[in-house]
Amino acid sequence: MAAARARAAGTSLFALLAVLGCVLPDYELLAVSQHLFLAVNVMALNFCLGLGGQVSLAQGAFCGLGAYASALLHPELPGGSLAIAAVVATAVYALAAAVSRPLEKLGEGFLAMATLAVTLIFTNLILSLSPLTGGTAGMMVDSKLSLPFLGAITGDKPYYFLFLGLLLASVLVFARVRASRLGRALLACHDDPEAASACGVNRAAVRSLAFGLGGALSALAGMLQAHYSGFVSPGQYSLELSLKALLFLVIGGPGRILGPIAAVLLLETALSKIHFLGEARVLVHGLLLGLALLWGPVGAFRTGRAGFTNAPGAGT
Amino acid sequence: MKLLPALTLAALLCLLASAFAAQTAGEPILIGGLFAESGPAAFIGTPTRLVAEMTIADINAKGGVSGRPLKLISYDTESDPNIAQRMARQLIEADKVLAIVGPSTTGEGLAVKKYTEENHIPAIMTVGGDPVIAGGKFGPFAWTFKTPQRTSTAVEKIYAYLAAQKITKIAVLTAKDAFGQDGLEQLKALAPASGVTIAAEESLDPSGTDFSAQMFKLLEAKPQAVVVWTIGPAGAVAAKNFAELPGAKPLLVQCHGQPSPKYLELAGAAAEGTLMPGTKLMAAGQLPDSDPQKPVVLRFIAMYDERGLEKQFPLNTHSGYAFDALTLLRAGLEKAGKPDRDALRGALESLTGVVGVSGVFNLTPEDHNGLSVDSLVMLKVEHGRFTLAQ
Repeated sequence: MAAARARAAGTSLFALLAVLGCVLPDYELLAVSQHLFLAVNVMALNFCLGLGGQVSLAQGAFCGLGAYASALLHPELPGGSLAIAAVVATAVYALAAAVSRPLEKLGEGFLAMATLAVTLIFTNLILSLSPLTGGTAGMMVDSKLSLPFLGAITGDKPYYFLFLGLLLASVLVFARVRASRLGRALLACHDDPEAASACGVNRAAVRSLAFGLGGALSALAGMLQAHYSGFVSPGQYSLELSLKALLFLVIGGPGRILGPIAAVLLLETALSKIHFLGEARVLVHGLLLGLALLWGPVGAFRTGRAGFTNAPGAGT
Repeated sequence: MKLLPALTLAALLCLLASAFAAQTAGEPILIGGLFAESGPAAFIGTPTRLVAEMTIADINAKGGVSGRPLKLISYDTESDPNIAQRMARQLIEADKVLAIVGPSTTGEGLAVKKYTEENHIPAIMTVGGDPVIAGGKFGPFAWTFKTPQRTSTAVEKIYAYLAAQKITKIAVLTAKDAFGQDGLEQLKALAPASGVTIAAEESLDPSGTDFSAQMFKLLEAKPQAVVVWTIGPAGAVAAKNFAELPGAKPLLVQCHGQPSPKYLELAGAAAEGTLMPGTKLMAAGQLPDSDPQKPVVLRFIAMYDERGLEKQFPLNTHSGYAFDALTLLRAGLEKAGKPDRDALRGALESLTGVVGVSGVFNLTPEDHNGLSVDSLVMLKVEHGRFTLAQ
């Protein structure tokens, strides 16, 4: 019953977004596309945090890797967008999974620090390869994505629907994984890592799978973003992106699907309307996070079942 | 008979309205403004908007452009390239502005440029970095202009001064951000032609609070001058660290982004004797009467004071860039003769001898900045204020 209701809500959300894509003027679509880009990153983080219970701050790095790899590969292989997407997604999947293996042994706080280091290493890598990447200033991305039947992708609407499609794909994959044996193994690690191991769950293996999936998804989002905005710079894929993804996932409820997506779309839109507050927006960000941690889906003061876990401190 | 007074009143109102309309003579020309009024670059973006508003009011008070007033519609870019891009699109597609002034940072400039170049929108930027008008891998710049001096112009000014002091061996300390990276590239590129050798290089994190280690290493190379390339408080920190090191020390030269009362305040006694290139705003009183910029600079400072901006944002080397952007825009519109984007672009890149606060602009299709080394002066801190260095 609850599952059917969630499916109906999800279908209507995507239908609404598709209608928005058809009626909004182009410059408004740009804003919604930017929110969708963030929403995909939130869903990517949801694999590690929502399912596996691992806090990751590496989303920015994986996203940036996808963006830079695509920007650098496209001039070499014009028209090969699909092949590049496959290569980039696989490579980032492998990298994220490999990175996560040793990190799995770390406790929660240390894991966050280690993944934070991954993002910092990425930024420094881009800076030190400045002849190739343009360093801090970034570089223009002139090559266009091209897809079979559609040709070169330009304009706001096609990109909007690509972002929407990627988000939909991430939702479907997430729902499938969550309902599978792998998902239950991940949830077991999430609720009680020791007990999960004792039950025969190969913790490092299942968690690295979730980490890898999240990484690949972020990389694809970064790839779309790079060609859409026509410009990549390390600032776009810094710690700020990782933190934003974490913020919205915590507000929306890790492990859930519609909550985090709705949190991104509604709050980002609302935040962009309070321009007049200036610097006080940072305060609003902080207040939101504080409220979410107290009364949100994983909040300390929330009575009853938090999300679908009741392990102490599991929401951090 | 109650209808009659109402009708009379309506007629009167209509008359009044048309009288007012006649005064402003014609529809306003819409100009878009993009300023980083919050986020890390707010200390540059907010005063830039205030100066832009001041300049628009001044232009309108003098009758506008070809009898039409200018109207500024501006948005906050939050120092974020994504939001700058969004706001630029809103200005063009929803507000239908003719041209854009801003944004404030190089990253935002590059993000906005992609769209304005493709859609043929003239954009006069107030960004420090050269990439927006560098071409090459940063894309074409047919529709993009910028008013602050190029990095290379500032480096040339420094090297010319050092040559006059018979200094040939220097060490450089540059920020790790885009601004510092740009500085390092130009310092290295122009060194051979100026007969300067760079004996040591170090970098600093612009949000750092101590650079003593880097300074010490640089001094080990026994340079005759140390050049520091960063914007904001890091420059003052570097000056303090430099002053605290023991022994005889070489000259300390800061970059053209540093001259501001804030630097003097933060560096305190350590600022004494440090040198830096700056716009003529910083030493207006000492300019010779023969300098064509002198009246413009003095008038700008008077307006700035009159508006009460000096109290909020003490005058610094960046203060005039929005004034210059709008001065160029007005000159371009007058030359073009009509508010048309194509005509405006053509007029802008052929403007010569436009006297602004930051220098005398002579633009060409290849040079979308138009300022030469003469637009900068070498400043020296003496008794806690900026003076012209001899």
